[in-house]
Amino acid sequence: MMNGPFSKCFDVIVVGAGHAGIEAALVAVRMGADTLMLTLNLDHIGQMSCNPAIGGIGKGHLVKEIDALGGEMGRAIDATGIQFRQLNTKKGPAVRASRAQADKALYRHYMKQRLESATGLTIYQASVEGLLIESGHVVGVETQMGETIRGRSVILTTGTFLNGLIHVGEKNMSAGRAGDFAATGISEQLATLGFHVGRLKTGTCPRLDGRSIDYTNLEEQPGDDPPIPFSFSTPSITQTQIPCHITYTNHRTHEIITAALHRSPLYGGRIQGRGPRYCPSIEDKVVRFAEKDRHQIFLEPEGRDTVEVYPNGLSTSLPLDVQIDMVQSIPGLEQAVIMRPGYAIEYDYADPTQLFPSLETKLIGGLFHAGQINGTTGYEEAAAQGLMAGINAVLRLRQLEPLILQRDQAYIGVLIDDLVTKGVGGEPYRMFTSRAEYRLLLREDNADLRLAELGHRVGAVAPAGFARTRAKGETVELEKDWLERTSVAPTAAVNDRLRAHETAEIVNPATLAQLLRRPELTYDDVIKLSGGERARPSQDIVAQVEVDLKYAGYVKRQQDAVERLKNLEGTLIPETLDYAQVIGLSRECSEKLTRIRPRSLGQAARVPGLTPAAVSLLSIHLKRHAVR
Amino acid sequence: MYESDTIAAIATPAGSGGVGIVRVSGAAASDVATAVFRGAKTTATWHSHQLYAGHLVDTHAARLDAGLAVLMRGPNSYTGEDVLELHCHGSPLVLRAVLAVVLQAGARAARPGEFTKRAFLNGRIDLAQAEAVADLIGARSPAAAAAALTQLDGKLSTTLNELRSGIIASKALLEVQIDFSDEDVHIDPRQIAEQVAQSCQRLDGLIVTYERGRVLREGLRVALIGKPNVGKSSLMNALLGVDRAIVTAVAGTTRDTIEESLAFDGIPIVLIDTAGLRRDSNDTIEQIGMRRTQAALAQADVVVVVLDGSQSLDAADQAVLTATLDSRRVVALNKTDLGVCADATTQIVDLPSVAISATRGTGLDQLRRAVVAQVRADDRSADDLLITNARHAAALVAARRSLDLVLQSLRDGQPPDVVAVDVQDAIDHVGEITGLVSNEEVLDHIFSQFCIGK
Repeated sequence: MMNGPFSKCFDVIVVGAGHAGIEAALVAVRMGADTLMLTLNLDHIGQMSCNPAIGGIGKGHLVKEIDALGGEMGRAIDATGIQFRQLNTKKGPAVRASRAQADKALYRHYMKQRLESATGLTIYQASVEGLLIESGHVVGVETQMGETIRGRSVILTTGTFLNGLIHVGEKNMSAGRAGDFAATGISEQLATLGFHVGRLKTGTCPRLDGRSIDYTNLEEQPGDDPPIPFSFSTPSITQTQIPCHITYTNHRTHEIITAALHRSPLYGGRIQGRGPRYCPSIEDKVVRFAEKDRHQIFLEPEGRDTVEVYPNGLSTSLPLDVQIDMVQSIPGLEQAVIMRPGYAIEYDYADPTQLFPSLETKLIGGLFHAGQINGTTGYEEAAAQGLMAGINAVLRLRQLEPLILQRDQAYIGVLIDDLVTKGVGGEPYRMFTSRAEYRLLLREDNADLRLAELGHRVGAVAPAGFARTRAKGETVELEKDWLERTSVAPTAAVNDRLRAHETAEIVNPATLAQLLRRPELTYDDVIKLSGGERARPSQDIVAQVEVDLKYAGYVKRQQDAVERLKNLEGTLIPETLDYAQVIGLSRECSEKLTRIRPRSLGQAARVPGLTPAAVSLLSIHLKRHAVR
Repeated sequence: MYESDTIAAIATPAGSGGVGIVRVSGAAASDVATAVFRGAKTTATWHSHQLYAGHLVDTHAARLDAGLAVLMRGPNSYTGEDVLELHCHGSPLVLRAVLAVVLQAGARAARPGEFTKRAFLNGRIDLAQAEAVADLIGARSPAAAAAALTQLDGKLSTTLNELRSGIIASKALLEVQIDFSDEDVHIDPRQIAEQVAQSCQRLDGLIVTYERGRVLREGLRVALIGKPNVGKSSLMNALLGVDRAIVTAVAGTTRDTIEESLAFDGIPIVLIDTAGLRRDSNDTIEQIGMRRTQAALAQADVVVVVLDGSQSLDAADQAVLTATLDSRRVVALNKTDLGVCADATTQIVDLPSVAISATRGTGLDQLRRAVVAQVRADDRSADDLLITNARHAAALVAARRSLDLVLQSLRDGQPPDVVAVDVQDAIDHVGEITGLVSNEEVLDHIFSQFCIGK
């Protein structure tokens, strides 16, 4: 071994510069830690290996939460997005979600600049081949060049790079993604250390030359006007937007695919793992839903300064000649030229049930895992974990309690709790809003109100961000208070207006808050009814007030449900607890608990297969222990 | 799982005993006492573990029964929490009424073994008993429930599994339009309403079987109803063969309802004599009696409408017939020993009726058979009984209520994320019987039914 360029010992070493690595490194330096980021390729920082978009349903919620906790992803997409859309606008307040197409190159550039200008962050291009471990703790890393770099904690954010293997038809090759080397050595060492290393599969679409696409007869999908930003700190989006287009596969496409199935690595048996069900390859869709006569394809530009187009919905690992035939059978793509083939990729991940909810591994002190190494998929899921791993690595160095978000506080809490309690079931884990029990509490619009204070307390959120959120919270309360106090009389004029809105007339004076609770009336409607002149607060305040008042009953029910389970979530279990000493606990339950080592009784209750009886026995054991 | 709310249950064994106890445990025990018990001293001044005499009252402060109350403040109580015991008369009707007001005062019905479980969790039971207690609690575990489900007779498990997958399918229909709204999937809201309505039907079918099982266990509740002085009490005495009710010629003598147990044709019967249904009574005590009559009517499985067969029907008789329109009923044409008025029989020609004489004891067997035939006429054979467990029945009723809210929200055009809250509640209630339904199951359903993903 030889000493590398660094003789000092870093506080935090982040391995990887994808979406997880970026948030981990940036939050660590924000919190004052001396941080090193290692990447295989300095030109590929913040690369979007798959579709050129940030956000979506459940994922937009994650981005807002990352932003509320001081993370970079929201600001980055606001600065580099080329099309912004609000999804689910008619599906209820809890599931409204933001999504934006990104200019991929610009996004990478933005992130690299942010990292380069972050005080206290060192960036270095190197391939890490091993971890340095001393008496159960990580003390640094070793690179392919044989350098050793010392660090007090290490965050692994290796994405799909661990023993990555790309498949296109009958061909396969070792790669972290098309065009990048795979990382070898780390998986083998993790397995030796006792980690359960598994294999997952995912895939991506071919990229098309936009100049060869005929958009004439295709349905155009424009961005929203005005575009709504992701970050709570972005006042507005000023760049012009670019539309996407929609086309469909047809009978001919499906024939081409069916005829070539034997050449697919999935159906030919060269890939064993099951692909993600929510992100199936086109060959999967054609086989599993043979009755559907067409499948939707979104044509998404990869940026302003490139002709590359991402045909979202055409993920495939069929041989290149089949990919060409298939693409050219689709309306608008008859002359389309493929610039990069689609492919499937297999990679290693480490069982996330071997992590504490802080994302520190149970086996090696100071070692954290974040992102796809934990079996997740998605830029947003990765970034959320990177952020939490970064925060908790620094808190650990300061010997402070980790920041664990609960399932009723954030989608990030749902994500990490699911990972460390249940693991991933054979396919990469993606966020859906239906994974959250308390969906009405976890809205995009209140992410800052939910999380900014927690983030501020640990130093992840800058004072300015926290002050802005506090001011927002106060304004919302003042506004609601005013609406509760202000009433309108049942005059003919008022009732005329109410009839015009197709809502019941009033007989007695009614407060504006009461009227706003009616589904037919908006904030602006009731202000007009009051006849008063009132300066309109900003749109985010208005939105917050409307949701708070209109859905108060349902929100209260979910809050009550959270309250009922509070003492379960609040009862912490010591890490060192010997489950064999818990009287009455079956061996099966004892083994499960020993493996997962839940942090709280609430988490214990969610361990698959654990009975309420076992949780009760554990509870009484903890009480007896605490008394003593 | 330990929950911190206040629970209540009838603590004495089922069936009439001399004294019955309703037990309440939890932080709100003392508030419950204030709400349902009136004594010489206010509850706040009570000493722990001391009995106080007074009255149990309903929400309108009307007296339900005389009784004793004792508050045992935690941690020195059976459960370790504040425990309230209400001692009253042992009649099932009284106990049910007392429990009902306790639940109105903020307690929740305890699940089986829940007092013991709280005692255990609060360390009031020796740890040596832990294993035994664990078994008790364990029977309620999702795994045990699921195991029990597979062991149950084929029909119940089939019905419950259909119910379960029906509700999961409804949830999936809602979730697919939320989590996959940008996919090429279109859901007609009417499809969800239909799916939910189907689940409601399944639930109703199951709940009805519990009601029938209750009849077999607790007895068929038969109420005698009629205007004053048509001979209800005489009929009751005749059916019982003893002088239980006060019989006088003065109208309105029976001021309370009277319950007696007997058997008709092998079926246990709870016979309820009621105060005469009469309008325009100014007598307060009698008015309370009238209120109870209406309650008895609502709770009765079969109503025997007693008419004076020797006279034409008057407005009061018509009022009785109108009041019992929704009940399963049999008409007893009494006093036929004094002659049969043709006018009376023509007016009730569509109803099952029996001519009797309570004083002479004629027609009683035919009346008994006619009453029992009312429940048997529903074509219910004993092997149709599915739901026998009170907790299961309560869970199904709760699920049914949640689905009613779902249908309401769908009619109101509420957005799917709000509708989903009540569907989830229904799923959780059914899950209390069939084992937990995880979010993954809903996702599994979506992925198996819809072509999702880009």
